[in-house]
Parts: sequence; C-alpha cells; structure tokens
Amino acid sequence: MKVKARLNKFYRVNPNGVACNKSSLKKLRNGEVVELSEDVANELLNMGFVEPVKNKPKKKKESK
Amino acid sequence: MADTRVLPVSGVKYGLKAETSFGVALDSSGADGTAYHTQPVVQVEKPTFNILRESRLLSGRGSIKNAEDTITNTRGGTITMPFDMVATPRTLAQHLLLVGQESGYSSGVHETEFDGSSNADSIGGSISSGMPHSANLAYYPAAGEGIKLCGVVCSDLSISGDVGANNGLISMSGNYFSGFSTKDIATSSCLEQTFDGTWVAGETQHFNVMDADVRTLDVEGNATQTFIMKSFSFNIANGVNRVGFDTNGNAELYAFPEYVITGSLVIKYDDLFDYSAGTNVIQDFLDGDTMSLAIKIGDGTISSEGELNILAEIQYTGDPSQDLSESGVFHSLEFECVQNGSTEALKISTFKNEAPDAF
Repeated sequence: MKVKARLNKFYRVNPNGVACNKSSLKKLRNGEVVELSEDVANELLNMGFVEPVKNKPKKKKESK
Repeated sequence: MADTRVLPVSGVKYGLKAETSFGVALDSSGADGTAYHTQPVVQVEKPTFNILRESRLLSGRGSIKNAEDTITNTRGGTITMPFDMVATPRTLAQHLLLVGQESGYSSGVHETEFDGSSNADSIGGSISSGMPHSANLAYYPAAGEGIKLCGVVCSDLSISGDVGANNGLISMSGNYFSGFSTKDIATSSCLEQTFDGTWVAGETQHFNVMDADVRTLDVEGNATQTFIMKSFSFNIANGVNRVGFDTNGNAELYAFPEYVITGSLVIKYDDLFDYSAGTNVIQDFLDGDTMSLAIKIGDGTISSEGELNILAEIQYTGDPSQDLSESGVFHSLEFECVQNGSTEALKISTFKNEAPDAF
C-alpha cells in the first residue's frame, strides 16, 4: 500500500514503537510516498500518522 | 530447605479488559484466556482487599484474644489498587472513561466531558451503550498465582505534565476500585488464577507536554492569553461507593455522588500574567472569576495518536503563590473546575482508533 506522512502529525511517531523500518520512516519524514506492506501501512493509518495515496489512473492515448 | 525462587519486580504484570456485564468475569472457565491489555507501568502494586475483620476479646477469655473469636467476612468489602504510568492513547482514554463514566466516541476521537449531567450517577447491570462502565483486571505474578478483579472502575485519576520531569511525557496515576470482594464466586473476583490468554502488549505512543501548541488562559478581561507553562495537573475523583449486595455479598451497583476536579498550573510571570491592571492573576482570585483554560497537545485537531485537547473552566482556590527558580518567577495557580453555563467543567479529547468496548 502506498502512503505518505501527515507531516504535521508524523513527527510524534515513536520510531521504536512501530513496525515500519528506519529507511521508510526517513522517507516518510521527508514527505515521500512510500510503498509499505498492508500490516505496516495499516498500523500507521490507524495511528493517524499517514494517509493512503491512490494511484492516478493512466490516461489512454487517443488513437488518431 | 528454603525455596530459592525470586520474583523480580518487573516479573509482575497487570492488564485490563472492558467488561460486558457489570462485575462478571469475561472468562470464568478455569484458566482465563482473555486477551488483557498490558498496562505500561514500571512497578505493579498489589490489589488490597478491604474486608471486614473483627478481632475481639470476649468476656471470659481472660487477658488475651482467642483465635475462635475473630470474625472475617469478605462480603460487602472493596478492593483497591493504585497505579502510576506514562499515559498512552488507549490507557488515557480508558481511564478517563473508568473515572468519568461518560463516553463520546466517534471515528477514533474519544471525548470525555464532566458537565454535571453527562456523567453517570450510578452503574450496574449489563453494558448496553458500548461504554466500558467497568473492567476486569488481571494481576499476574505467575501461573496459578494471579488475582482477578471484576467490576473495576477508577475512583480517582490524576493527569499531569511537567517540562522538567519524565522528559515532558504526560503521566497519570490513581486508584482502581472494585466492590466485588467475595472471592469464592467462580464468575467474579478470584485468587490463584492463571491468565493464559494472549496479552496485548502495552502501547508505545505517548503524549508530550512540549507538543502543546495551544496554551491559553483568561486573565481578568483578557480572554485566551498564551502562557508559558512549566507544569500542569488535573485530579478527577468520582467518590465511588458500592451500594447493596447480591446473593454473594458483592455490589449491586456503584454510586458516583460527586465528580470533583481540582488541579494546578505553573506558568511564567510576564506581561500577560502579572500583578498589574488588566492582567492581574491575584485579582482573578479575589474577584472569584471563572477562566477558560486550554491546553492542546498537537495542532488542535484530534486525528492522530499522541494528540490531546484539554479544555477547562477554572476558578482559583487560593491566592496564587509563587514558584521561584533560576528561570524566574512563576505563578503556581491552584484551581478547581466548575460548570460554567453550558461550557463543561472539563473536557478532554484524545485519539485512539479503537471503540471503547474493545478496550
């Protein structure tokens, strides 16, 4: 699942208290979109620290 | 030969689980398989049975009491147990419910109000509103040595934060209360219990007073003035009493005659809070003013763990004293919370994406 941090909330995450690995936490802190496993993403979602990122549907090229 | 076993202090744990029926064990089928929520305490203190014991020196016994003349009765008693821990999202929300007996839950936001009408005057019977009126408590040193308490509520709860203590983490302490002191009933409080369920680990998120972006207090005619805070504390007591007795001598209900909320706030002496006209904290005490106090940990919107909004209507209970330190003069404001028209005496909101009946 792709998520990004709610930056005004995310600074309170206890890095030792969540299942998310350090490199992903660092990317999230930097505002990047990160792909996480369902379990890890759901933990952070339930805590209110991240929000899901939906993939934008690809636009089909119009055939000439 | 004497036994060499040692029970480390940290080898004892205790947990809570919301009850579905007042004073009834969630699992009374022998070993208790309930998934208790481990409470994040450093040292667990043992429950105390406060029962009737009457030791008498009867006439004709001479000058020393006789063993046969002592009366012990577990019926009609109470069990109490103190606690002290750093607050976490679930523990804070649950203990506020257990002391406030009022639940406002929606989409992860737990709101507990103290307003003279929302808080239950009594509890008993089955739980129908989803609110955990009471909980099962498991005190567990080892298999076969546990103590299970049923019908557990909080008789009092203190919530405090100090920038100079506990790294600024909000802590809470208080006492549990149970009116189910008859231990021989299979479906209620008991000794020598094994708790073999999968206990839920303690939470790891906390509240830090130094995250309080909003700290405001009225002073004389000036509303919502921002203060620089050293510490705060709130103490909530509900005066719980056990009432009546069932066929086993356990409580039929608990009564909560009065919710008393007191507290203290230590803030810096500055131009917004001093002894001059318009900003005089002493004048607020002498005039008997009611002031609005707001402490919001986080950005004020309760939508993630570790956020906490405290709104209180306060009156000073004494002449503001001074807290003197190398940081300068601070006001030490002792207060009580009072209902102010339609504004709650105290309202605390926090976030845990879990309904109260899952606590």
